[in-house]
Amino acid sequence: MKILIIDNDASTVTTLKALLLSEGDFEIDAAYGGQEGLDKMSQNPNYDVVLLDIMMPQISGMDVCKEMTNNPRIKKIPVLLMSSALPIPPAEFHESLEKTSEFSVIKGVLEKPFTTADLLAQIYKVVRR
Amino acid sequence: MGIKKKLLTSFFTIIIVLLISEGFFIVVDYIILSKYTTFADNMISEYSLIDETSSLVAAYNNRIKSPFDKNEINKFDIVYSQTKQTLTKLEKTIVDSGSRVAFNGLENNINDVFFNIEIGLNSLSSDNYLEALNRYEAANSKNSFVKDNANSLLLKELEYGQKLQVEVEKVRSISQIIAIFLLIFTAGGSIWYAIKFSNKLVSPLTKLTKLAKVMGGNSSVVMDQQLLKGDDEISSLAHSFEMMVSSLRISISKLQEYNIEIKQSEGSLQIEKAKLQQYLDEAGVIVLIFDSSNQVSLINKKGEELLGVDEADAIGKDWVEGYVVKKDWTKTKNLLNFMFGRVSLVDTLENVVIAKDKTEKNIIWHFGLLKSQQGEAESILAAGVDVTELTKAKITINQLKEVDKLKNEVLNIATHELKTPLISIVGLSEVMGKKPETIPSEYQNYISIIHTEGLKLTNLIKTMLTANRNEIGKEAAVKEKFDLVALVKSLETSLGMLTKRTESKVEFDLRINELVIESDKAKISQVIYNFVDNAVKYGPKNQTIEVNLLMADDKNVKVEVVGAGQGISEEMQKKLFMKFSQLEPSLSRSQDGMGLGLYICKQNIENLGGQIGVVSKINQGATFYFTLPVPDKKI
Repeated sequence: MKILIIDNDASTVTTLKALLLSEGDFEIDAAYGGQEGLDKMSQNPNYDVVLLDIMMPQISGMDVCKEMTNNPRIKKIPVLLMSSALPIPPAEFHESLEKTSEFSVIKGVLEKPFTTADLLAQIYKVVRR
Repeated sequence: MGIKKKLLTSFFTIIIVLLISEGFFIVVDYIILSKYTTFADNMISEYSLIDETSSLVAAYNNRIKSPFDKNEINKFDIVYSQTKQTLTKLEKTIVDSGSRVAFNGLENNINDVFFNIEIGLNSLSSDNYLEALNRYEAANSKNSFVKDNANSLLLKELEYGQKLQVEVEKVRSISQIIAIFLLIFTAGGSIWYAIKFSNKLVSPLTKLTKLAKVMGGNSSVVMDQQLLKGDDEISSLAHSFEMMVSSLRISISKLQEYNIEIKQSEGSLQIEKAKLQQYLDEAGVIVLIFDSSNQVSLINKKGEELLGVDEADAIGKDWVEGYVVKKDWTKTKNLLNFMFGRVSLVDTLENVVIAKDKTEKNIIWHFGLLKSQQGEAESILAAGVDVTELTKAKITINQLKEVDKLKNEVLNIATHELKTPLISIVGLSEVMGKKPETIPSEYQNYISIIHTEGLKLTNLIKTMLTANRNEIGKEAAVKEKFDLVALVKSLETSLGMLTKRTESKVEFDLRINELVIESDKAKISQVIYNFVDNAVKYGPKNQTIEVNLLMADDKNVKVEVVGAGQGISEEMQKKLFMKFSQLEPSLSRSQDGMGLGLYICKQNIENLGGQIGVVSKINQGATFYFTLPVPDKKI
């Protein structure tokens, strides 16, 4: 399974990589900013899932989602949003995003810090779809 | 000129005079009615502005909670434009200069609400949720002034209405004089003509002459049919007489109709006045009006209660020397003189007043200068809030707000910033723990400790965040209709699992069979669960915990959880529902957690319109309870 992690915090990227590799047979790429993430997806649009942080400088996670929706090549890649500063509980936040078409790529929301079990559950839920 | 022509000319003149006078009444009536209509429209706009601004703030709050919900955005836009329209409409139609001053105060506060919401919307579109929420709080606090402003405006409008009434009375009495004059003129003219021509036409016209005399005082006269027959001048004169009589009848009935309409307008004005008095009485602030010699001319119910006086005693009394404590005379008088000198239109002041029972009350006053139509400073409208309790605690509302805001911000930033590093601490220690053979044995234990403690810290931060979300009202209640008795019964299994830990058990005593209420199931379950959890944590082993459901009174249902144990001191009972409070001092805490459980319970129950509390004595256990409002039985 191919996963792309987009987060400007290098420690978080390292941790997520280590956690996922210890749990199963994953092929993992990392991008440390919104633009880098978009470039990687354009070059290689067959990622099974993207783990995307919301709060990033210049191009935020929400901007990345809008760009993805407008680009037919990558608009089918499912996205799991990650954030430590959600205004409301993650399930409610996801519900409010589902009502709008420009964020249709988002398939789940994880509130940092999350457990490995939560992360894997969300990934398998998205991929099984 | 022949008799026929002369008669016709004179009768037409009379009819034209009558028509002109009728036209005059219609025009006067139209002008009066249109003034009343604008006045009533203004009052309606002022009432609805209070609701609309509140709905706007609420809609904005929903908008923040579901930032991408098209439905909420639409709802918000509708309420937003409605509020703007009402405000613009009101601005155009207010004509009285006194009302204009009061309106400006209202407009300022509503514009502040708009301003904060607009900045909040900008923040929302750049994903800055914290700022959007801060703007919500600012808009909400501005909105709390709107009702007071609207009340002042209503009061000014009512005064304007009273002036209008005086004008109407004047116009009406003039109209009545004109009407009487015209009637006398017409009747007199007819009699004069009748006498003049009766000299020439003698006997056939005697009947008509008599008739004309009677007609002056009686509109129900019936014409003699003999006179109407034939086509000579006498019969045409008779016809003209008949027309005049019926025209007079119409005029009289129309005048009566106008009179009824004016009386109805007066009635609706009285109703509006009573409504306004009710608003003033229901307002949570003291409202006083006094003139330039500081004599009280109006006081509302709250003012009567606080000063311990009747309206009749207070009216005409010198407000400063009669009620304000002596040391505050100078500063109060100076401010009032300053305002009457028209240097300032609005101002605030904190002073001490003496109630009838000699107790001293600290009041914060908001003064507004009321001007006459000529622009002269006439009186001052004072709205006062009793801050005695707060002043005693040496804390002002603003200081409290500042501290609370700062605390929220610090808590928000701290928790969010803590979360990112925790991912690495918990995650990497978890990965290392999976391959123990690669780690020296003495470090294996350390890694498991890092992982466990990291998880504990994660849970603590989550609990803190939940508390903070509740604080700023983010977790809104999800209300639905359900049977409370059935809900409590359904908790039996999960509560049983809780009590198993200390070999205790739960006993239910439900004294109602069925009770449908509209409330939040999940939050109520959480509170009961929390109560039982505490009873288990802090009580002895092998105890029986009682869960009781009963009516507290006609309007409230009560749920009690009674546990055994050492009891809670009165001092501790007061602190129990505050943030971060626990039964044991922090050094000896034997229970996990942050002391947020009861605090969250209190927030939840109060959001649902109920009350929460505890009854306990040392060594006699404790009864935790909450109440919830029950819908009216008639409905």
